[in-house]
Amino acid sequence: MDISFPDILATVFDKHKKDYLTITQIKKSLPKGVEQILGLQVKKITNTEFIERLKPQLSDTYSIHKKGNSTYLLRAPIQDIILSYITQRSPISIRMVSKNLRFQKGQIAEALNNLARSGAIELQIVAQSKDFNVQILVPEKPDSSLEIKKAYDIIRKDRNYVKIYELRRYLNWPRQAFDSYIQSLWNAGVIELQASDPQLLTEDQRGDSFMDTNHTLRILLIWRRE
Amino acid sequence: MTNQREILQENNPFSSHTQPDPWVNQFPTISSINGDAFLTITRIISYKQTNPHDPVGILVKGEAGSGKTNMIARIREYCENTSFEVKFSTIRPIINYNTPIQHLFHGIITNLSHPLRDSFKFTQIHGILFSIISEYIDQKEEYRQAFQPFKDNPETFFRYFSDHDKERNILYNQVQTWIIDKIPDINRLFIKLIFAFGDPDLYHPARNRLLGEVADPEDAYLLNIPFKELSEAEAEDEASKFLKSLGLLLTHHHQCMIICFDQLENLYTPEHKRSFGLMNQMIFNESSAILPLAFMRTLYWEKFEEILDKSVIDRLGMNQVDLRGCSDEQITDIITSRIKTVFPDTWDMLADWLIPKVSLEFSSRGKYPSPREVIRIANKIIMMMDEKGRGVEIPIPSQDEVIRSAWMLEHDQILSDLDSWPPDYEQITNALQTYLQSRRIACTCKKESRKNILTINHSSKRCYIIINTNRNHSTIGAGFTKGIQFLQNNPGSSCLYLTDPRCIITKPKWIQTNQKREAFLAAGGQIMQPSEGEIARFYALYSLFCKITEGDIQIETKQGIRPITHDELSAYVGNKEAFPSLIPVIPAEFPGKVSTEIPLEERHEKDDPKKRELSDGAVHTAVCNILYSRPMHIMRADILVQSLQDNGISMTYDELIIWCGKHPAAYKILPNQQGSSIIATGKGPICSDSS
Repeated sequence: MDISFPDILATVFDKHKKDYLTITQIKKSLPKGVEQILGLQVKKITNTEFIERLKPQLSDTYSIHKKGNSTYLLRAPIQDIILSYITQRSPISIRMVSKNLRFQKGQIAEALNNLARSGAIELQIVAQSKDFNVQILVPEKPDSSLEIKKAYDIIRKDRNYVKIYELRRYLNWPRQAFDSYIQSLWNAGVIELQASDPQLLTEDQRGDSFMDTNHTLRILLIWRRE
Repeated sequence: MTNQREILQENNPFSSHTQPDPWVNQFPTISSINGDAFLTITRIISYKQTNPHDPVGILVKGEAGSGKTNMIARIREYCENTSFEVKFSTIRPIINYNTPIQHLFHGIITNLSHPLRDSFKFTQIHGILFSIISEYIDQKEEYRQAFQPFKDNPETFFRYFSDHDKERNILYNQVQTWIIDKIPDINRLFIKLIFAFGDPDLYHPARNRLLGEVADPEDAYLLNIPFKELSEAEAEDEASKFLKSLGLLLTHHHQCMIICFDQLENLYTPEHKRSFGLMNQMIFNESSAILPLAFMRTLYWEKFEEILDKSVIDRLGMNQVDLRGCSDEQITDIITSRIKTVFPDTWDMLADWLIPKVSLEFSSRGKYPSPREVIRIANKIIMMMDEKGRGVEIPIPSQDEVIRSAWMLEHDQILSDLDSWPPDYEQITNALQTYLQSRRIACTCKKESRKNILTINHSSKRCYIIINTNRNHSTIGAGFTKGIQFLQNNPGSSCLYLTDPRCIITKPKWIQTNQKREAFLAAGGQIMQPSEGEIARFYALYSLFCKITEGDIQIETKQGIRPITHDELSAYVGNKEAFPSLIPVIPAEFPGKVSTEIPLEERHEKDDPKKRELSDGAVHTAVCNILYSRPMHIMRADILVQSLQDNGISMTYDELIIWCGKHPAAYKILPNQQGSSIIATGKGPICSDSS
């Protein structure tokens, strides 16, 4: 099928099983055919030049991030990346998060505070011999599919569909987590996502809808089976 | 040896994904797709048949490509399977919101008078008439025996009586009197017109009068009704009375009628939405045995809910049906059935090749694709594989290519079934406005009684275009008078009188109208009555505009799939090389030749039937010989025209499409990238012999 640059980039991140990669890592991992799409020979240009050529190709979820001498490309907001990392390792100390993730301390603190406020994580103070440590826990959530179904039933009232932006706003989960749950329910045939007419939505509402892998904006969600 | 890819590329069953018209059967129905929705609809239809006075309605919600028009076609098939005991009609979006009931009744009559069979002009109105006559005969012992051969065969009945005027007139008079006694509230004029419709000589004036139009006192005399030119208010009132009478007739015979309101996204303004509400109020509150179905996209219904009367919302919304995406099995069914239609002999080998590729593609895209998504992916796979079966990049079609392809499909489908597009000055005006705006020509539209006037100010020149499809001599004469006044008041300006080829311009007996016409021409006015092929361009442009509003024409871009916009249509139509002018330069001598001829639709029927049969036979033989020499009995229409020429049959592309459209049982018109293809179904009278 017709492969676009964002598709290639997503494959590179998937291959590394990471949500952020250095520019050098990306340059090394890009397949040969990509040079035609970008119109340049990737390995012959500097990282700065590469970044400039890359920017117009990136969707809103991507961002460039610098730490120390390295420049990283992030494929999701920092907060989502941190939550995803913690979820896989919970409980984990704040020190380990700071040590293993290549973000600045201020960014980590801001993300963790936001996540704690939203209830996505819980912070636990642990007394140590000389000091205190903060352990981060991801609370045991009921089955996400049940949570989504419960929200769906509340929002839809007497209708048999919901608008995805309403569901997203109601659940208020981290963006990437919501999208990934929705995609998995869709792949499993539990829900159906329909496109509808984007012109009937505001820009914000469109932004909170769901962009599928084929770059079609899905607006409506219908529960197909329990 | 030709491989599967090449076979499918040559006659691609997936090149188009739109259902063109509910009256056209391009591909077989797949019963499981939206099967639950269809069952709900048929259950409510049955309920309505037994409870004709219960004001129920159905709301069918579905996104672009989910199969709304396909569902309407399926409901039409369902009605056909009941031998049209359940009547079928579909209503296009209203343009003039001041006349909602006329618009509704116009749509109903257009559908009820649409030919149902290949061989004879048998319509649903004939079916209504036959029900009345059958009931009358049943209680008349002396007629029962004579009627026996026609008992379950209405077509034979009407064919027989078309040659026995005297007996028919006696029978019709008796039955009319009888049914008016039986249903005293029924409108007598309505009954008279329904019976006149069953007389081949009165078919056209009767249909026109049902639509509120009468050409002149002579036509009124032929119909044996008083001659009266109706005002807009009277016409609206009469349409209400006729609609109620139709409901009474259907109720009396335990029948019902479906009215499908389609493309409702085109009702932009609150006034348009309210006029839709008024049509439904009329159906719910004042008619019986009529079941409205509103088809629209989900979020648009929310907009309608803000404006419609609560009673309409409740009654339409009480039965909501949602169109859903396809299961894995249904994906397979779509692919198989499309391939089977085009390749009846080798379908399994081709389906085995394509199905796994389509399934693989959907495995990572999320479940339940819409039927349109399935067809689009199948098309993409066919077009992207090279001769070694490897995936190759295919250029994404440009906006102009997508619009051109949709335009050609629309034009050919309309041309093949002009009965679904009766003369309509509002639609012609709409198309002309779209065209003029696309060419950056400023125009204003003035709505007058039963006609529109476009005024164009372009490059310091003024032009007046009077668009009229009304057959009444006064209305036509008034149009010429308007033109004369304009030309006298605006020296150096030009004026066009534009009408449909199926509409009369004048008759020899219309002395005043003829004088006005002569004066109009002498003042420099021009009469434009395009050919059927040309007028189909107007209706196709209007139809395409509506489909674009619906989000029905989509384009694949690097940023994803999105609907084509009106601005893109405008850019395409505005390109003089891509889209030839809708208003050609008119030769100076042309107006003199229009004059007093019989309109096209009546002209066809007044030809010598034997002569027509002979020429039909010759075309059949030539077309079949050509198509049956091809492996799949299919050929592109433009190439077929050339082949016919080589066989001594001279036909234009448009004429071939019209001709095939008149023989739907023998030939299917299928879309391809270059226009249309013609496929012999093997069911034609000569095709079956030559196979």
